[in-house]
Order: sequence, then structure tokens, then C-alpha cells
Amino acid sequence: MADPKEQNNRVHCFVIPLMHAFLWFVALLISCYSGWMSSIDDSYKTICVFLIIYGTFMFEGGLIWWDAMATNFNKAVQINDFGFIKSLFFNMSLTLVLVVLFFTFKISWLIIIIGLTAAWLKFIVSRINPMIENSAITYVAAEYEYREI
Amino acid sequence: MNDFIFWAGIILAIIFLLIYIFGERKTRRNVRSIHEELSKEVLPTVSAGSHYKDIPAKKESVSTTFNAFRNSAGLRLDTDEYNAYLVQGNSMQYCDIHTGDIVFSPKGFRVDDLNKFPSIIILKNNEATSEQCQYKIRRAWKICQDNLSEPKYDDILKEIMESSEYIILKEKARDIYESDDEMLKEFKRKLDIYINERKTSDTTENIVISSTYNVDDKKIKFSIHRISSIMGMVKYVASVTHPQNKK
Repeated sequence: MADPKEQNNRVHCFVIPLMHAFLWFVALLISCYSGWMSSIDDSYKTICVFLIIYGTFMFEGGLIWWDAMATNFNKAVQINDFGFIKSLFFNMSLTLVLVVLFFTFKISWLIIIIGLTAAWLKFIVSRINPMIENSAITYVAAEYEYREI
Repeated sequence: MNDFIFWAGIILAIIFLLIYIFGERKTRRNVRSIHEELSKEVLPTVSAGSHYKDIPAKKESVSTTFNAFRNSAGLRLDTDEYNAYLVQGNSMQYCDIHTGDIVFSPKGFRVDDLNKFPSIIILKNNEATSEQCQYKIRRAWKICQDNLSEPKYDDILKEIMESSEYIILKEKARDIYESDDEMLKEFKRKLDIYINERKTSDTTENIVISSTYNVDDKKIKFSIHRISSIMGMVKYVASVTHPQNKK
């Protein structure tokens, strides 16, 4: 059986960089398709490209998290202490509401706010690594009681 | 061309998702198996009894780095500041130290630090080979010179036997404790052996009088060791084999 530490190191050194490249290739490919489509109007194309970028940022967060798991195996990562999951879900909900509003009322300046939510999402996922570096404590397998002699 | 790009994009997106899901799950399993591995550690053994030849120099126990040791008040022990030893044998059972327990001795120990008696001490076993258990654990009662007259030793022993800790020990071990006279006799026998050994040596040094429970004879006995063989003083003990001590 392969050494799990070695496998995790391989994930960190090769798999994650390849997956980042793969992710952006797929994202660009699909955005190109939406840009070339003549059957849909420009506002839909814009929002389509936005959603692809937004989804890519999301998956990037997943890749960063996966990488953190592979490299910080001797640490207990306390990511939820920073309200990470809450802010992620708040960002997703806000984006969804704004996209629906954009589709319904076609208000052009909403696209700026929608863009800002994507920038905020990018900020959230970029904080994963610093959060792990600052908050990770040494992994504790179990607790035992000791007494003084 | 548009359709090709679209379907290529979709298929690649599905491949990405599958690699992500399987890869992430595999890493999660790896992390779990590494955590299992981290929870164990090979510790130097310390012999609590006379069967040091049957005990390997090192043995696997729980990790002192990746397990938390807390006292009843919840204070975590900084294990980096202590040498940890795995107890093998039950000769310290009257001090509530049993086989499988981990004892912690402060790093940078000097004999001068041994100023409170009785104390649990770690002694170097000079007779052991490199594969055998390198240390012994004993309860130290007194440090004294090794060139005293016999009446002086009697006074020291009397002082030990009158101490409140010794009376507690006698009470705990009342089923097996013979008598003070027997203890004294045994001590004198050990002292004779020690003095005979010393005659062949030019150097003199202080000795430590310690006690241990001999599991085979079912007797508590005094023993004598040179203070140069003292490697450390036990400050804390963790009973890691007792399930109730795992929080």
C-alpha cells in the first residue's frame, strides 16, 4: 500500500496545480461558447460568463481546501471559527438574489454589484490559506488525564 | 464548432468534478490513516521490576505529541518540556503507577533538583544491553554518602521508616509488608553487596536509597544506587491504558 504522506505530497505538488489549470481551461472553454452563441442576447451572455467565473472561484476554493487537507495533515484546521461557511453561504444567497433581480428587471448597474459579490467570493477563498496558517493547531488524536506525583 | 466546444466543455467539467470528488475523498482517507499513525509513538521503556531483560528498549505507545494530556483542572501538559517513558512492570503499583503508564520527567534534570523525598526517579540500568530496557523506575527516599558507618545508616533508615509517606506506604501494602526489621535486614544485605563492589572502585560518591515492590517475591525492598545513575525525576504520570482516563 502506498504511503499516504507520499500520496498527499503528490496531490500537493502535481494534482492540485494540474486541477487549477484544468479548471480554468474548462471555464474558458464554456465562456467562449457562451460568447459565440448568437441565439441569446448580450445581457444573458454577460450573466452566463459571470456565473462561470463565479463557479470557477468556488471550485478554486475547493481546490485550496483539498490542498490544505493534503499538506496540513498534522494540524487541526479550525476554519469555521472565522465564520467562513456563514460568509460563503451569505455570498451565494446574495448573488442568487441579484442574478434573479437582473434577469427580472434588466437593471444594468446591478451587474457591478454582482461583480462585487464575485470579488468578495474570491476574497473569501483567498483567505483559506492564511486562516489555516494562523489558526491551525497541532492535531490532537485523543485526550488523556495526567496527575502529579 | 460551437457545439463541439460546448460538449467538450461539459465533458471536461464532468471529468473535473469526478477527479475532484474521488481525489478529495482519497486525501480525506489518507489524512485519517496519517492521524491514526500520528496517534502512536515509540517511547523508551522504563522497567518497573526486575525483568528488564525481557523488556525491549523501546515500545509503541500513544503519541505524546499528537495526544493532549490534561490534568483534572483541564491544564494541558507541555510534553516538549519532558522526557516520556513507558512503564513496563508493576513494581510501582503502591505509587499508583502501573504497566503501560507514561511517566514524564523534566528535561535538563540535575541531581540537585532532587530535593523532595520521597520522589519517583528514573535510573540508568548499566547492566542492560542496547536492545534491553535502559531505565529503571524506583521510589527514592534519601540521598546520603556511601562511606557512612553502619549505625548512621540505621539512623537514616529509621528516619525513612518514621516518615509519614512511609507509614502510608506500609498501610497501602499491609497485605504484603513483612516488618521493619525484615526491611532493615534486606537493606543491610544490599549495603554489604554495595560496599564489596565499592572496594574494587577508587571513586566514592553519594548513593540514593530507594524502594520497590518485588513482584516475584511479593515483598517491598530497599535498594541502593549511585546517584550518577539517576537520569530523571518523575513529575507526572498518565494512565493511558485505562479507558476511563481517555477523555
